[in-house]
Amino acid sequence: MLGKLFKQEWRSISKLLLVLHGFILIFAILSRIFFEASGGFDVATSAGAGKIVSVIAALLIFFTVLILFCAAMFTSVYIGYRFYKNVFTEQGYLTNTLPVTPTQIIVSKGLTGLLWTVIDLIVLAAALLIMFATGEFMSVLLPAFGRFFQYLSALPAFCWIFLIMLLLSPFLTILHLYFCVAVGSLVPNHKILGAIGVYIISYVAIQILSTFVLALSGIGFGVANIDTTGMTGAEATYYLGNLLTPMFLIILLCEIIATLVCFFVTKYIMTKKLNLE
Amino acid sequence: MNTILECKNLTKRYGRKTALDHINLSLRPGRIIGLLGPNGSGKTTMIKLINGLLTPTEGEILIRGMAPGVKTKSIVSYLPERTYLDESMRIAEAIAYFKDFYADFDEKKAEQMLNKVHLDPSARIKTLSKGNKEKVQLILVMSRRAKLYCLDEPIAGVDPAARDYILSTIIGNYEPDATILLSTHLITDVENILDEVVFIKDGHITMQEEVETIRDKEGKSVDDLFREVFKC
Repeated sequence: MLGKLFKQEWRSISKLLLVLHGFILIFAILSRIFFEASGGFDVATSAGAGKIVSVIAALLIFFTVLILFCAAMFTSVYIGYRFYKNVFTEQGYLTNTLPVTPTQIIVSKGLTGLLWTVIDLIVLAAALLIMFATGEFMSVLLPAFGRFFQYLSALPAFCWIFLIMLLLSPFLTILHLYFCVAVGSLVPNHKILGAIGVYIISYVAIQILSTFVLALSGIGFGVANIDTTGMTGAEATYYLGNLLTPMFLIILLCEIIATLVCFFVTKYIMTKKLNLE
Repeated sequence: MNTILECKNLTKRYGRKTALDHINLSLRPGRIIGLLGPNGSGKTTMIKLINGLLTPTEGEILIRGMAPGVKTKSIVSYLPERTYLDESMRIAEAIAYFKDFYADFDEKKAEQMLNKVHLDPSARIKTLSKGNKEKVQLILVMSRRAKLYCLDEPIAGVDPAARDYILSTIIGNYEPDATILLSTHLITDVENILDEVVFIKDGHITMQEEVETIRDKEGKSVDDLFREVFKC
């Protein structure tokens, strides 16, 4: 059933997001064509370029930043909105009476959301490369990528923990959205406002808590007084590793706990406190 | 199995308001049963509890001996009193959706019923009239070979011709060993198709009786009895 839920959700969510991301790529290609026709990005944006060319170039750069920012925001909000619409509005009468468990619903929607978050990042990076990358830039970027994977095996523990934290953060972001939608649904007649309110409150709470955890663990493990003067590279890595590993582990643990709390609260509300009007 | 649905001391409260108050009810298979009561009497709460959209405050509700969950949802076919389909879907996509999730869904039956009412499977649901949206949902719900059909106000808000279509679809398409629980306050229209009625008032079951018995013993139609029992 999980596969079927995923398939249906993928179809529904992708209709709009495919159009949006397709538009971004087309915009990037057309912009690149403009820059190439104007003699290259450097020429189009230099002081010596014609007035019209400079204005169009400036507008293109402005809109690129705006579109990429809006697309990333929209993708994230749309993932949360799909969950709200599908589970807590009239469509919830069908979604919640399918022969599936709330966990399967959360996981299937979460995975599609996760996949689109990754696609969004790739498309945004691709759009930037299409618009601005030069042969020279790529000749530096591609080998750097290769080296990154080479170095991966030699990374110290605290870097690995940091990497895991980074990889886990999209899970937390999506489940946090679902958590806000689920808790917001308990507000009668103002579910969306409720979700926004919960998002703001929980966001501030998370920020305060993480500052608190960082400060406490930083002071506790002596990270605040880091001093690597006179050490060799290997010694500094060893020294930093000893300090940072426990601190990062605590932060990772907090991230995992927050993710689990978001998941179980959402599941509880879907199971016991469903409030369809 | 002697009972398809059993409620034991079933109670549902919303804050201080009691929607269902210690209800005891048992329904047998192979019947068309009217859940009759005025607006706000607890009909929809009862149907939501059967479908697992609400959880009881006290007591229990059992479908074929099981509490609402994945297994009961696979044998209960539910028609709510609103459009619950993603309206950006085409009718054919909605059929594929039901086929995907319900093992008891009969795709051919759904297509035949659609043909009969001249609905184009490639039409988007949002482009349909209110009456046609209700027909599509009814076709989807009645194309399942379910054990219990819960139809919440299926004829409210549609014209008399659509009412006739809906009622004939219900009678013509349910499985003989299945039970239909049909909630409504429009008694006259459904009276002729019912085997049994359950009267619900202010969260209490006030009567559960065979339609034949009401006619024979009381010498009244269900509609007359309803008007008498629920007189304001």
